[in-house]
Amino acid sequence: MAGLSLRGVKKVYPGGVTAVEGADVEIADGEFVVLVGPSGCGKSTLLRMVAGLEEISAGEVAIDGAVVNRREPGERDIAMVFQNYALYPHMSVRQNMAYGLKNVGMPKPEIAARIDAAAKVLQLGELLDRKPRQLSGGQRQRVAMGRALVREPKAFLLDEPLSNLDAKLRTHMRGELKELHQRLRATFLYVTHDQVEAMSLADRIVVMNAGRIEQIGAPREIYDRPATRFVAEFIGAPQMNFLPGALLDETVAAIGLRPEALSLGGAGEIRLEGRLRLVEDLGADRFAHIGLGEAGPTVIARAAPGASLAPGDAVSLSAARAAIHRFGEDGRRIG
Amino acid sequence: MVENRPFLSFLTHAALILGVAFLCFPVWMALVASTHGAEALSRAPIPLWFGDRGWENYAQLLSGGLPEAGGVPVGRMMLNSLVMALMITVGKIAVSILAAYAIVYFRFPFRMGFFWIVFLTLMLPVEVRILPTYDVAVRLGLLNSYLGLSLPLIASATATFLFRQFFLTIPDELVEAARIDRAGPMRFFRDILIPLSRTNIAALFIILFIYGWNQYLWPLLVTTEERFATVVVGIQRMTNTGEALPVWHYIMGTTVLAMLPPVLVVLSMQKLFVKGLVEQEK
Amino acid sequence: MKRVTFRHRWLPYLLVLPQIAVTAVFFLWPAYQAVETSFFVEDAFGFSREWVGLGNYDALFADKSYLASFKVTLVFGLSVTALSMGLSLALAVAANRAIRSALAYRTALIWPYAVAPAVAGVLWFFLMNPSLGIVAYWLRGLGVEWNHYANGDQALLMVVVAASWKQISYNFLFFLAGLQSIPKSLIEAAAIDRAGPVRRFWTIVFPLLSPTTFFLLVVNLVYAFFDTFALIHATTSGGPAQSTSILVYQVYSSGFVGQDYGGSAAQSVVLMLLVGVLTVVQFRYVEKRVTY
Repeated sequence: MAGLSLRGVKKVYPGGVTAVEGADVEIADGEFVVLVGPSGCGKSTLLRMVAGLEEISAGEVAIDGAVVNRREPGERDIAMVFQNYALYPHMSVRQNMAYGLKNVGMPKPEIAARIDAAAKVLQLGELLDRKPRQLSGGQRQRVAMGRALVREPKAFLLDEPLSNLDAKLRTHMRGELKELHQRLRATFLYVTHDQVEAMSLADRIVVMNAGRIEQIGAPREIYDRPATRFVAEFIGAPQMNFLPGALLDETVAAIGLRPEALSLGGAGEIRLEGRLRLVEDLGADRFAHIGLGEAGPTVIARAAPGASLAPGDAVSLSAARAAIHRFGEDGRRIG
Repeated sequence: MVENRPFLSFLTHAALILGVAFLCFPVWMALVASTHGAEALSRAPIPLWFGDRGWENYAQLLSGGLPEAGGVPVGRMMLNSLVMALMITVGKIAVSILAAYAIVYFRFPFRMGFFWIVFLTLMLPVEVRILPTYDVAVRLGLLNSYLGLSLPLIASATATFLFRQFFLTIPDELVEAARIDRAGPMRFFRDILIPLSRTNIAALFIILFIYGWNQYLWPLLVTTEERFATVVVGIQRMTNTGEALPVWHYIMGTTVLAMLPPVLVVLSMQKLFVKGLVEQEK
Repeated sequence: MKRVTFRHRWLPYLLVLPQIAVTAVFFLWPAYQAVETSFFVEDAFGFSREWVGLGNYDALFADKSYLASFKVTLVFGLSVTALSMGLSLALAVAANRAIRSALAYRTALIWPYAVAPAVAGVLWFFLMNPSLGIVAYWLRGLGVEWNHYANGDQALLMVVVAASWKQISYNFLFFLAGLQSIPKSLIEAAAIDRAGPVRRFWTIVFPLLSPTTFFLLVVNLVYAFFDTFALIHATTSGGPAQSTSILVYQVYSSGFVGQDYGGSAAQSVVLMLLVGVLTVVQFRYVEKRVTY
C-alpha cells in the first residue's frame, strides 16, 4: 500500500483540446478518494493517467513516492476495475484472476493461494470455474474486484465500477465496497458521476468541472461549505435553491439555501411567501415545490411529515440566516 | 405468418421443391452415370437409375487413374487438392490475422498505406493478370510445387477486412486490462485476441477451404507435371481429350469425388458457413 | 479506429510483412508488368521488344473479335445475374414463408455453393451433350435440335445456365438473410392496411430488400465477369467461333495460346480498370451500409 501524488497533471489532446488542467491531489496511504463531476469533466482521463493508459502531457504522477510517468501500466503496481469490468470472456473466473499473476511469473501455488483468499473475501467460491457470460452483473463486478485484489497492488483505481448495475444492486454493492475498503485499508481512487456514491464512499472527495478541480475535501465539508456555486449545485439532491441576493437583502450576487434549511411555516429570521406548485412524496421525505410570486423562481423545501399540502395553497417559508450560502459574481463562495 | 391461405402454402412448397430438384438434378445424373459402364453411356437416352458398376468405377478411379488424364489416380489428385486447399486456407488466415492485428492495434508510419495496398488486391484477381503472374512464378522456380500452387493465392483482402471489422468490435477495455495485467502485444495477441477470434477463424476456414479446393486457373498453369494435378483440373483434362471420346462414367465419378469434400464441409458446418459467408460481406 | 493501441518500433512492420510481401510479389509486380508490357510489341522469340505507345490498345479496339467478346461478356453477365438472382429471390421468399421447414430447405439449397465453377460447367456439359446428354435428348423430343458444338447461341445458353445454377445458393442465402431482417411488425402493419401478399411484397418487402439486391447485383456481375473462366475453359473453350469467349477467357487465349504478349497485357489493363470500377462501387456502397 502506498500514497499517490498528482502534481500539476495536465492532459492536452493532439487536437489541442485540454481535458485536464494541472490537477494537484495528494492521496494518503489507505485513503478512499472519489473523483466526482459531470460527464466530460476530465475525471476519467485523470484516473487513466494515473493508470498509465493515457499519456501525461505535463506534470507528474507519483506512486509510493516514485514518479511513474514513463512506466507502462503493468509496471506501476496498480489494479484497475473498469466500468464494463473488461473480464476476458473466454477465460474462467479463476483464469481471469490468475492472468496478471501468471504474466509476472508468479509460482502456481502462490497464485492459487491468492485466488482462494480473494474468493473468500468476495464470496466467489462457487463461481471460480464459470465463464463471465454465466455471471450476473453483480457477480461480474465482484470478479472484476477480485482480479484487482489478487494483485495486492499499491493502489486500486476504479472507473465508475457500479454504473452498469441497476439501482438496487448498486446500493448493495456500494455497501460491500465500503466494507472491503475498511477491511483492506488500501488506497482507493474512485471515479463516479454519482454524487450519492461520492458522499457515501469517500474519505475525501475531489469535485471536478470542465477539466479543473473545484474543491477537495471531506464529504461533510463539501456539503456544508461548497467552495463554488458549481459544487453547491452538483452535490446534494434535490439540489440547492439559488436566489438573487437582493431578494433577501444580501449584497452578494447569489445566495443558496438547501431544501432542508427551508421550513414550511414556522418562524425564522428570513421569510418568503409563495404558492405550492407540486409535492413529490419519496416516502421518507416529501419535497414541496413552491413558486415565489406569479413569475418568480421556484424553490424546493423539505416538508415536515404529517403536514397536509395541496397544490395551489398559499404557503410561507422560513430559514435561519446562518443557513445561507453566499456566492460572488465569479461563482466563488463568500464567507 | 400474417394469414393462412392453403393455396399460397401449396405454391410455396411447390416452388421450393422445384428449386431443390433443379439444383439436385445435375448431381443426380452424375451419380447415376458414375455407376454405369461405358456401354450404357454410349447412346441416348442414358439411364436415369443407378447401374451396378459403381464400386468398380470408383475403385479404378481412386487407385488406378485413367490413361486419358495422364494415368494419375484420382486419389492422388484429391490429396493434391487437399494439400493446396489447406495451405491456401491456413496461409490466408495467418497472413490476414497478423496484418489486421497490426493495422488495428498499432499506430505506425505508413499504416494506412499498407491498408490500401491490401485493398488493391481486391482489384487484381488472378484471372486478369495471368501472364505476368505466371512469369513471376517461373522466375521464382515455383512451377510444379505445392508452394507454387498456394503461395501466390494467400494474400487476401477480404480475410484481412473481416478480422479488422471483428477486432474493431472488441472493447478497448480488454486491451487496457491486459496492459495492466502486464501482457505485451504478442501475449495479448496469443492469449486474448486469438481465442476471441475462434468462431471467426472457423467460419473463415470453411469459406477459404472451398475457395482453395475449387481453384482452377492457377493450378492449371503452374502444374505441368501430372503428379501435381488437382482434381478439379484433372476433370478438365479428362473432358478435353481431343479426338478420343470422353469416358463419361469415369468423368462423372471424378466430378462426384471432386464435389464431395467441399459439399460435406458446407453441409456439416452449415451454421458456421452461413455466418461466415453472410458476415464476410458486411 | 481504436482509442487504445500498443507502442512498438518494429513489431507492426513485422506483422504486416507477410501480407505485403505476397501482395507485392504476386499482385503488384505482375500488375505493373502488365501495364508496362502493354506499351510494347515483342518479337516471336522474346529477344527484343519495341515501344509502340498505345499501339496495342489501338489494335485491341480495332479488333472485331475483341469487341465481340465485350458483347458476349455483357450478355453473359447480365443473363447470369438476372437468372440466378430472379430464381434465388423466388426461392428465398418461399423459404421465408415455409417457417417450419425453412431450415431443411435451406440445407437442400445451399450446397451448390461448394461446387467448383469448372465442375458445375462439366455437369451441365454432360447433361447437354448433343449425342447422349439427357437434357439434349428431352429437347430433341420437344423438337429442339440441340448442338452447342455448332450453335453459338446454344453454347452461350448452356454456360449461362451452368453459371447461374452454381450462383443460386449464394444469392439465396443473402436474400433469405435480408428477408429475415425485415421486421415482422412492418408486414403485419401492411396486412392491417389491407395489402394482400403480392402487394405487400412489391410495396414493402422488395423496397426494403433493395440494399441486398444492389449488393448482389455487383457481386454477381463480378462473378460472371471474372470467376467463370474455369467454367468456360472446362466446357466450350470459348467456342464455337468465340461465341462464349468472355473477356477473361480472351486474355488467357491471346496470351497463352496466341502468344500475343502486348495485346494480352493491354487486355489485362482494360480488365483491371473494369474490376477497379466495380470494386469501388461495391465498397462505397458497403461503407454506406455500415453507417446506415
